[in-house]
Amino acid sequence: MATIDYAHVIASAREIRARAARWRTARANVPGLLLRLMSIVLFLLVWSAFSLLPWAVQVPSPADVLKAALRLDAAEFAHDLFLSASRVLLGFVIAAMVGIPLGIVIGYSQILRDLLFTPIELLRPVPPIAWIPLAILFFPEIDWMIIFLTFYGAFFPIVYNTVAGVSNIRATYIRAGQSLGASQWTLFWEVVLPAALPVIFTGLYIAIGVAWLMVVAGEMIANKGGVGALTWQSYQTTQYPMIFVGMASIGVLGYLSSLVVRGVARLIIRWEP
Amino acid sequence: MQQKRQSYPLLRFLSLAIIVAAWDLLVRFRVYRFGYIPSPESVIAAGAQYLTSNLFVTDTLASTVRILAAWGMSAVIGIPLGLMIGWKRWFSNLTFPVVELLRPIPPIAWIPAGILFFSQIELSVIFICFIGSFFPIVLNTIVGVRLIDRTHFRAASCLGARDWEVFRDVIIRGAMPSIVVGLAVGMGINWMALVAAEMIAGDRGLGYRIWEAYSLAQYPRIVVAMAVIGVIGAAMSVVIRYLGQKIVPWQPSTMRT
Repeated sequence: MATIDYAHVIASAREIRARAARWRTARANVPGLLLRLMSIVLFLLVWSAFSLLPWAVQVPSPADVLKAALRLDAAEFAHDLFLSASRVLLGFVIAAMVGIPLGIVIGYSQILRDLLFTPIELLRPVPPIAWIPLAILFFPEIDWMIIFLTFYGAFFPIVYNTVAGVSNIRATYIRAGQSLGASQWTLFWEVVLPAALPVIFTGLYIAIGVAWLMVVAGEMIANKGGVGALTWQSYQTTQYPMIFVGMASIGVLGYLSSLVVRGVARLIIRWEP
Repeated sequence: MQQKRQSYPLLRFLSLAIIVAAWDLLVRFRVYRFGYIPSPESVIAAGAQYLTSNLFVTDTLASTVRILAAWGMSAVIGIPLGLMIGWKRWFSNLTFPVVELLRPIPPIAWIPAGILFFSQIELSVIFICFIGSFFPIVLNTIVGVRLIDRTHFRAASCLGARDWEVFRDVIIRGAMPSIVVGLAVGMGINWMALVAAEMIAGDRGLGYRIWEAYSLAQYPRIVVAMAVIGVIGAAMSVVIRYLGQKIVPWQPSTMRT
């Protein structure tokens, strides 16, 4: 006698229903997807049309840009990308290593806040880019000059967010920890740090964007190696389509690195949606 | 940890005094490469000279006009765009992909393209600053609309609000706090972009003055111009915060940029 495995039937019925629902939402999304695709296509069309205007003859069309990208010397281009990315990474890592402990200490103690945060607050309104000439004077090597600039740009969002994260912890969390008999040390590792980490990562996310901005500015001024220099030299040598190749590669690298920061944040911070 | 703790103004003053003294000593004894950095005294002397000159007035005026023009333009274009993207799904599908495509490109990377687009220096500098403040304003506006409580929309519909009434009374008002944040952040990035654009492509203005001082080896003037930029930038963000409080009085003053 054949027995009916009810559990299996119910499960497969559920599966079918779920699949149908997925299909329905996918179909409902089709116009949306089409519109989104159209958005990009329209953008490229408008850009092409713009490049045909008589007073914009210097502006290359998307096709010109694609052609320039294909003509690129791969090894040299890869070297430029690597150079910029490593400068960003180094400056960013140093900024995190200095900025996070500093922010924690400032968030913890009012005395240290008065001592250490005052100069930081005073320097913050000066855009990091304005430091370029002093950085050139101070660092004889271009590499260290640019790494300093990326460090400096990334430093402020990291410190500010860490301070905010540590000093805005709910007082009840601290009191709960204390009444459960946590030592200062446990309190820091088990309460303060987990509560502050999401805010710290917001700072890191902003910082990596600023670091890319700084590397481009530094490389454009130094004009020696990296995607920023590539973009600027393309302008100087009137290879205009290459400007846009440089911009696009900066955009892609910047986007990828913020994806990485976000991914790491998700891996580490599992307690926050 | 939330309770207000005692702050010691004396300690803050001491901190700054230590920094300035360290700066002076490092330059005086030419520690490492500090010999190349201008000393505090030379900066004060250069400041006294620059701040009383005509150049200071024209530079400040040129930079401020550029900043305000770019900022105003990105607000006029960015806020309605962000409101529409946040409000209407089809509009979002149609325009947001392009915003997302261009957003990761930092404003500085637009400098050569900006020079290419506009033959005039003035317009290319304003364009680069515009790019800088446009994206934070659009994104914060979108976030502002998306964060509006759904019940507000339902309440408006129940009360018989038409589409444009929902737009006026629910969308604009609901997004306002976030728009103010976007405007403040945009102003900060505007200054970054301005300094870079004026350094690389400018003919006058505070950023250009920094670069000119460097090329003419008038190093103390670099620090003076940096300080002027810092003071004007800080003053502008104070004004934005104040106006933001006036416009959105229902929002607590926890605005961080």
